[in-house]
Amino acid sequence: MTRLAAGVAATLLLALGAAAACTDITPPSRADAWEWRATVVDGNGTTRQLAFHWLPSELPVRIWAEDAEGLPGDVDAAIATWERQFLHGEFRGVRVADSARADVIVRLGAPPSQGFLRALRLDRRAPECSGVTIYDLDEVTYLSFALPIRIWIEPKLAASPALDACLALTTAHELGHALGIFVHSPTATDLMFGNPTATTPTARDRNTAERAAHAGRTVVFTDRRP
Amino acid sequence: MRTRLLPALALATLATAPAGAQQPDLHLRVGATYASTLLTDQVGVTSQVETRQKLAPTIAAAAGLPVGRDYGARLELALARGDYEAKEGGTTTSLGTLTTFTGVLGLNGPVWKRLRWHAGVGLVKYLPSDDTGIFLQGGPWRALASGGLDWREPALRGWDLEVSARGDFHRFSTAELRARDFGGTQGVGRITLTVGLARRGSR
Repeated sequence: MTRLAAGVAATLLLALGAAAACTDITPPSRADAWEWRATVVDGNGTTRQLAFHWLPSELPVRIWAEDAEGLPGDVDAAIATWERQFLHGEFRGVRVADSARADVIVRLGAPPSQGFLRALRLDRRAPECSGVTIYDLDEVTYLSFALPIRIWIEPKLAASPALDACLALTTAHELGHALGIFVHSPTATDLMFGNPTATTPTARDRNTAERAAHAGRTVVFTDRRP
Repeated sequence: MRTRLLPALALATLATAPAGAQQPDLHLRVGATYASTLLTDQVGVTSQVETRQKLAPTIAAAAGLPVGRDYGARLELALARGDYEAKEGGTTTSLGTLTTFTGVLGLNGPVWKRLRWHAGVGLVKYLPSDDTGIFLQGGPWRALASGGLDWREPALRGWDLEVSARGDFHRFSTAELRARDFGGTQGVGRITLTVGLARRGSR
């Protein structure tokens, strides 16, 4: 009987423990974010909202960087920066040696003034350097874009001591666009502000990137190389 | 601090064992551990992401001493290693490998014939393969309560075949989750089934 009582007592203690363990952790609201989806008028005159993010099956995103002005190092740092913003493996990037197999191409210099009929063009300008991310959208429907996403990082003041920092933060900013943040932050302290000074994403940048990564896609890519 | 707690408790157990104790019970088992959801995250309005460990191969070792005529004290150590993943709707993202190291100091006693109950408290340490995502600032130590049943059947001279079932409960969070304003902790239950050998101790 004593044995049975001890066993029952142990079972009851465990049941109590199980009951106490039933409540869940409470996620943060992530409400402090801005509208990252771009509103455009497509070739048929229809107003559309563009939303894109990489699916888990599409990861890692393959990124090629031109070997100039420390760009490969800046891209590596930008990949690591954005990977750290996510909790559930929403983004993984890898720098590749073959630009023909890249999903994102990062080059040094000014973007071409022509060649993209309906490009979604996202600019960032500062005195020391500027950056542009271009999605080559389907010219009529805006339902798809052709890979690769192209990023240009252009040094402006070669002698400026702030150039290296500008190139690094501009690379991180433009990679944020390649993750699907199509609209700049309205807050000057954010990395995704139009002319940012922040070197890393803020909580608001992170909230926006997380929400973008879990929202529905209205635009998909084509022509991905195996 | 916590890493020193288990050995200290083990020493205390051995120190309080009967003076005539000569040789402890030894147990070595292998099996698998099932764990409930580590985290349910709500991102945006509709997206719910569940992070959980897949069924994890487990190795467990234990040493114990008799306490009185029918009872025993035991230190159990277990290592479970398996993949963990995030699920959102029908989409699954592999997040790498997660190892848990569990140490439990407990008591055991008879239930019926060769069936014995076990109950104890201890610690679990999470060891992710990469410090990323919810483990960006490393894997946590968490306190846990454990209980279960053991069935022993004589098999070899001095050795028994042992089948063991364990359930344990702890509350999960990480430094990264707290840094991101996740509130409270997640109750995590685990069930471990193992089979192995147990060497009978002597007095």
